[in-house]
Amino acid sequence: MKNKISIIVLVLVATMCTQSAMAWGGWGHHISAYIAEKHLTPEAKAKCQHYLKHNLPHYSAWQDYWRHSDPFKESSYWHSTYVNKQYDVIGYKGDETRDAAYQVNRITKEMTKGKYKNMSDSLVAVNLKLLIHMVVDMHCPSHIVYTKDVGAARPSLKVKGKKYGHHKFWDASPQLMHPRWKADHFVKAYDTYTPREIKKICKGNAFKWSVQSAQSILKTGNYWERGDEFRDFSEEQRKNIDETLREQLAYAGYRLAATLNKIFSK
Amino acid sequence: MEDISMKKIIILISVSILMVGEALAFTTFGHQSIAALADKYLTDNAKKEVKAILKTDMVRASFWLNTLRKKPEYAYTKDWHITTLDANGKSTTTAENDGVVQLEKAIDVLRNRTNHSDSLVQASLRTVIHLVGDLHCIAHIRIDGNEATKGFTYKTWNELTAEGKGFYCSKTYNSSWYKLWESRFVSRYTFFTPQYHGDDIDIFANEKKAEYEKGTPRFWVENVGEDVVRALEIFQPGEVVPAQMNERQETVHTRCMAKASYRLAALLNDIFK
Repeated sequence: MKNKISIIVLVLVATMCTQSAMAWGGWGHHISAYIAEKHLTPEAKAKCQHYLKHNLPHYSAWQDYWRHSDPFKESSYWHSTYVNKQYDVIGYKGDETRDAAYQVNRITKEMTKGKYKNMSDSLVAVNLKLLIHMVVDMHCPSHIVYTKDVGAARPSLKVKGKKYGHHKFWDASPQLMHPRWKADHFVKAYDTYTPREIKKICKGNAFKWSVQSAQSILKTGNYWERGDEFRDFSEEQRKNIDETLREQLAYAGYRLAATLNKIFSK
Repeated sequence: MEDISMKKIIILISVSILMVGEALAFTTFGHQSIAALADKYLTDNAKKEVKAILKTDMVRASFWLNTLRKKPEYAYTKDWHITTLDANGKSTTTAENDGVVQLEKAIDVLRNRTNHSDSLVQASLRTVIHLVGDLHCIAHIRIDGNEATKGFTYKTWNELTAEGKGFYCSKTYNSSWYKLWESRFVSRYTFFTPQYHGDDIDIFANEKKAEYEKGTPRFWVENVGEDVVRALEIFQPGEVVPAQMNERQETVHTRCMAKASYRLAALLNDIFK
C-alpha cells in the first residue's frame, strides 16, 4: 500500500512540476513588466511594440518557457546572479558569462547607441525578451546566489503546513501575500516612487543593480526562523516581506524601463 | 494483477489531471478577452443595441453558454461547443447539436429579432458571442474520420533536463491536445484584465484584419480546420514532441483568438447596422 501511495504521489508531482522553477512564480515578472511599460518613453514604447508586437508582460516569462528548448538551453544559466563576499558578480561556478547581470549588461551594450539597427528584427526581439525576463530575475531574492562565506541564511518555512523552501517561497510570494490582487492592484501599491527616487534607483548598470539587490536582499534571511508557519507570521513579518516585494518588483520595473529607454533613445 | 491495477490508478490520475478544463474552449478568461477585443471594434450603433439586448456588457455575457450547460435541463447544449467538418475539411453538417448549426440559428434569430421574444433574442446574442469564440478553438473542431481531433495525450520532450541539468522537471511529461489549445497559453495572462489581454492579442494590421473578417461562420470554421490539420502534422496521440513545438503554437493560438474577435465584431456590426 505504501508503495502504491508513493507511486501515485510521484505521478502527481511529475505532472504538476512541468511549469515550476519560475522566479517570482510568473506574477512577479508580470508586475515588474507592467510597471516598466508605464515608465517607457513614447519612443521606446513604439520600438518595443514594433519588434515584439505584444506588450511587455506578454514576454515576461518567455525565457522560462523557452529554456527547455534546444536554441535557448544555455540561457537557463542566465536566470540568477552570483555574488561573493566582496559583492563582485562572479557568475555560475565562476563563469562570469553565466550570470543574469552579465547578460543584461552585454545585451544592453550590444544594442545601445543605435547598434540594434544593425541587428535582424528577430535578434532584436529575442534580446528584448531576454532583457524583460533577466532584469526582473536579478531582483528576486531566490535568484541572488551568494558564495558560502557570505553566510546568507535561506531558511525554509511552512505554508499551510506544507514545507516551502526559501526559493519556492519567494517565487510564490506575490500570490501568497495578495492572492486576490491583479496587476492593477499591485501597480497601485508598488509603483509609488517619485521621479527623483526613480532616477536614483536607475543610476548605474546591471552589475551595480545586482550588487544593490544582493545587499538589500541579504536581510530577508532573517525574516523568519526555519520551520515557521507563514499563516502565523506577525504583522511586522508580513510588512517586511511586502516591503521587500514592493522594493524589488518596483526597482526591477524601473530598471527594465531605463534599460529599454536607453537602448531606444535617439 | 497488482501491477495492472496500479497502472490503472496511475492512468486514471493522469487522465483526470490532463482532462481538467475539457470543453471549455479558451477558458472563461479567453472568452472574456475575445469579447473585450470585439467590443473595441463594434460600431456605435452595434454597441448600443448589444448593450440594450444583453443588459450587461459583452465580456460578462461571453461565458453564459458554459454556465447554461451545467444546468441539467440544458445539458443537451454541451455538444454545441463543438463543430464537425467532413473528411475534406468542409463544413457541411446539418446536425442539430453542432456548434456551427446553432450559431447560424442564433444569427437568424438576431437578424429577425422583431419577430422573437426579448428573452430568445438575448439568449441568441449570448450564444453568438460564445460560439464564435468556441469555433475558433482548435480543440473544438472535429474532422470526420480523424479520431485525433477528439483529443489525445502526447509527450513533451524537455531538451534541457534530458541533458541531466535538473530544474525540477522530468525528461518527458504528459501533455494534452485539449490543454494545449484551451488553457496552456491563455492561462498565462489571467493576472490582467480581459481588456488588457484583448489589446495584447490585437496585433494584426488593418488589411489582415479586413481579410479575416470576410466570409461566413462556415468559412471561418473551415479556416480554423486548416490550422487543425497543420497542428496534427506535429502532434499525434502518444508521440513525443520537443518542448519548443508547444511554445511555437502560441502564435497560432493568438491568431485564432484575434480572428474570433474581429469576426465577432464584424458579424454584430452587420446584424445591427
